[in-house]
Amino acid sequence: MYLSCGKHYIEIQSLEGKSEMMNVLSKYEGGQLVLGEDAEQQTTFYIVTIHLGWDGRHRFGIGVCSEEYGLKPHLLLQPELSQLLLGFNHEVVAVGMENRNINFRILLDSLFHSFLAFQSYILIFHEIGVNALDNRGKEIWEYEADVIENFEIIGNHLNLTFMDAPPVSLNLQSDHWQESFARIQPDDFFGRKALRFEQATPRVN
Amino acid sequence: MYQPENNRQINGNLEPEIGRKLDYIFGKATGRLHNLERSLSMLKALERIGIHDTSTSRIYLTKHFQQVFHNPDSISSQNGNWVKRESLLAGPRGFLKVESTWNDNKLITVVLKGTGG
Repeated sequence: MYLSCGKHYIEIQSLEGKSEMMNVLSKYEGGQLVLGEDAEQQTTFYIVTIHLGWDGRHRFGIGVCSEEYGLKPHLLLQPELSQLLLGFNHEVVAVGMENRNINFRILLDSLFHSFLAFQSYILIFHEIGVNALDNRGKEIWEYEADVIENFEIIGNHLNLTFMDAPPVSLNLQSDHWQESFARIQPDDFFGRKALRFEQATPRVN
Repeated sequence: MYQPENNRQINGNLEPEIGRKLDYIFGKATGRLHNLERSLSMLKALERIGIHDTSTSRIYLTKHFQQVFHNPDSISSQNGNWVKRESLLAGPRGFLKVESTWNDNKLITVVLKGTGG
């Protein structure tokens, strides 16, 4: 099955080993990128194949060397930017489908979990925290506390519960990081009353 | 700048807080699917080196983290109160490299590396 993304369409496959992945990628007419090669423990390999343009006969391939640790890579399509976001290992990489290159790369402090596109933000959930990007990939803020057990978005608030830390509620509404964190919610969430005020760490680029 | 001697003194007055991380490491996480899969992955890694979820193993792992916390040589990187430490965990059937993340004396998370063979 294919995923449509603008004028391109995308196919994802997993492979047995790195040599097989490299062999497949070497046959792609539209070029290739290999991500995650600096990972210490490469155990699973994936290829994201982008069939370029309307005719789809030229292929651009992105190989991913994944450490896994029980976590599979994620792919977030951004057709309006003709860009793919790949989250895996300890990083997120944005790949442009027109320039067929890495647009930006973000290193995380723990293992990548998942993406959530919310209004003008892209939230990157990793094992112990969240990074917020604007839709051009600029890091707006980050928050880290402990292993995230669960999250939900109610209105403009991101509510997080942790394994060994009190829950927090983060205000996502403001474009300014200073105002993004964290308003004490009077409402109960996840069955708990006691929320705490938290200060975000601004990302200085 | 990190000062090992200072850190040793500070840690000397503190005991590590393990919290519920042993449950996490032994496959008993709660919450999102990602946590469950990650937690089970750590259990499998431990079982490959012959460490199973028993009270003896939990004591063994607790002691391991206590030793790591009090050993300044285990520190691989530090950013303020956040510290990454590396250690080697020995089991009856092999070894695992343990990368642990700490906030002060609180164990935040663990990555178990190696096949245990």
